[in-house]
Amino acid sequence: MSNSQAFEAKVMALIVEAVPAQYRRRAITPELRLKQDLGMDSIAMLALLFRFEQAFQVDLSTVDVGATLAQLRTVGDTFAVGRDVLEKASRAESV
Amino acid sequence: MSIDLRGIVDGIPSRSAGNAVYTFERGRTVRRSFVELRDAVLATAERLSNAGVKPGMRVGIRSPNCYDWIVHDMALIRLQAVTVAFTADFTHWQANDLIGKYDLAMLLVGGDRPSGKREPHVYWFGGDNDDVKARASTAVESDADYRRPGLIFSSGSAGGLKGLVLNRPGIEACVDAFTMALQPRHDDRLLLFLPISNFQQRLMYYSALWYGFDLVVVEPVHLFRALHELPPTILIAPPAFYETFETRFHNMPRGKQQLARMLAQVIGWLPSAALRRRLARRVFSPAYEALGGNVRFMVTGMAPIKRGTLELFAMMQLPLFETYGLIESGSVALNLPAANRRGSVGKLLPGVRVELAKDGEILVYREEPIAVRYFECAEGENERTFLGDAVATGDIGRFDRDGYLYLIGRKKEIIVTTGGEKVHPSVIEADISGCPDVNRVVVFGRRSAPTLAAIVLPKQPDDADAKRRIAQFIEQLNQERWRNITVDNVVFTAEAFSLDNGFLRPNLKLDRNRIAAHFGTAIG
Repeated sequence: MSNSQAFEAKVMALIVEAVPAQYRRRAITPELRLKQDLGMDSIAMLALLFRFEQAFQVDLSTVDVGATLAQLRTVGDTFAVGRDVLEKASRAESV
Repeated sequence: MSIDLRGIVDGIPSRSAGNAVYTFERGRTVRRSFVELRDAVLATAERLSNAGVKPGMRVGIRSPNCYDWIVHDMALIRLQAVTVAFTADFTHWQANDLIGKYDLAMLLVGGDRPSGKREPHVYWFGGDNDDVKARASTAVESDADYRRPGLIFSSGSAGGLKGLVLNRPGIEACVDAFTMALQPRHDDRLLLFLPISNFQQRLMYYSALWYGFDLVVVEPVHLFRALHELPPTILIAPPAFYETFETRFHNMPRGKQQLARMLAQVIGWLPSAALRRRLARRVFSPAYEALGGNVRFMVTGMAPIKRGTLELFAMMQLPLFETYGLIESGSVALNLPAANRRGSVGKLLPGVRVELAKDGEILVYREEPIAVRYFECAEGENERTFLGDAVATGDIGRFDRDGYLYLIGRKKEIIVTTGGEKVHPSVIEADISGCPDVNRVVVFGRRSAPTLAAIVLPKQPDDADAKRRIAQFIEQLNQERWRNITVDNVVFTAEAFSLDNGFLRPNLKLDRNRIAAHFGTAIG
């Protein structure tokens, strides 16, 4: 598995654990919308962000969390935004 | 000694000097003692006074959660001005429109200041406000005893915004009652993350400043960070927060869930509460860590919480208690460690009396109400809600023989069948939800018969056996549990209940009218 695939699998696992029961009837694919299709409300999104921080051992204190959340519309967005967040956090650490 | 809102700041040196407020600012944790806060309040009060703020003037606050919110609120109380707290519903209003509509002398604003022309009566937290002056408004009320310290806004269950006139003695009584029940210690730490414009949050920091316990004040987006870095001992959160834990638990592999349940059962047999907690902490370590590891009392209200969530927290030996209150009446009832009955909202708080109207509506009596009327509402709402000494809640309830209050449903939702039977749909829905195959159920009266229809979303909508089991379960309820009512029309759907399709309102409650309109003739 490539690094990219491993990253997406890890993020997907975090999403799977956060989706409420009534929305887990179908396979979770990148185009699904987090809120409308997977029932993730604002608190569930915050929990996801925090689990991301724990899973990837990254410090998000310097990231604009509000802006980050606003970009998270679909499952696919979490991969792109997640990579971006990791990159920013890693740059902040090396400064 | 009972709280005196006007005396909070002066009382800090003797009452709560050892405590502090924590915030996150630009990625850092900032700690300020209550004594520092007091100094900031005094300086701010002087600044606002010099800008022309006088007793009785209306001063608006529109800001995200921040230290300055608290400082300026306390400063305005000191000046005996009337605070007008604007909720997120007003985010996109122009400042001058707010000032005009609510006849404000000044509007205090937090957040990023836009570039451009400065408004003469708009004061920005942390900004250069030398040129800002109070406007000569017409809404200056003479109130020598400062009985009306503020105006607030609240969303009703139907989504409409209502404006309320606060009553200082009622605020004080409410703070005292809740605090007496909570029994906070000086080493307690309360996390506030819901918007401060939601008045319940302000009640909590008034309590902290007067009775002396630490505060953590953050924006909602920093909730989980705050839990991790500044672990609270006391947490008040909506059901949705606690339900994220239930979701995570139920999404674990089945074997892991079963093992956890078995271990929890064994732990539950142990006689020592301390030992039970210690072992549960190891078995359910992710949950304990996510909550910061220090929590001794968690409260939920604002909306009904799922029974399964309460049961999960009990299984994990985590102290989660359901409460009930409205902003119109203040907190009404609260479950406590020593007096807890799951499924109820607890026993009445000190100073609260409840009568049940003939239809079971909860009427709340307090010597001093927290709010005295709406200043902005739909026609007739004042008369329907404020009934002399009582607040009519619109909720139907019942008491058990030990005095625990149970919520049955909303008065507006009562179904009257064509046969004249009155039914609380939430009771029937709760019964049907006992079937393990049911995901969601909504019940309606039928036009064509004196019976009920149930719209059911199964957990596995494509499973014919599951549908059969659900139908049999309902038939058994018809035969053995329900008297005088029958559910004889079960409509299965595969459509999730969501905000998108309008089946759920923005507050995540069912929009029964929308659901009924959608299923139309199928209900019968």
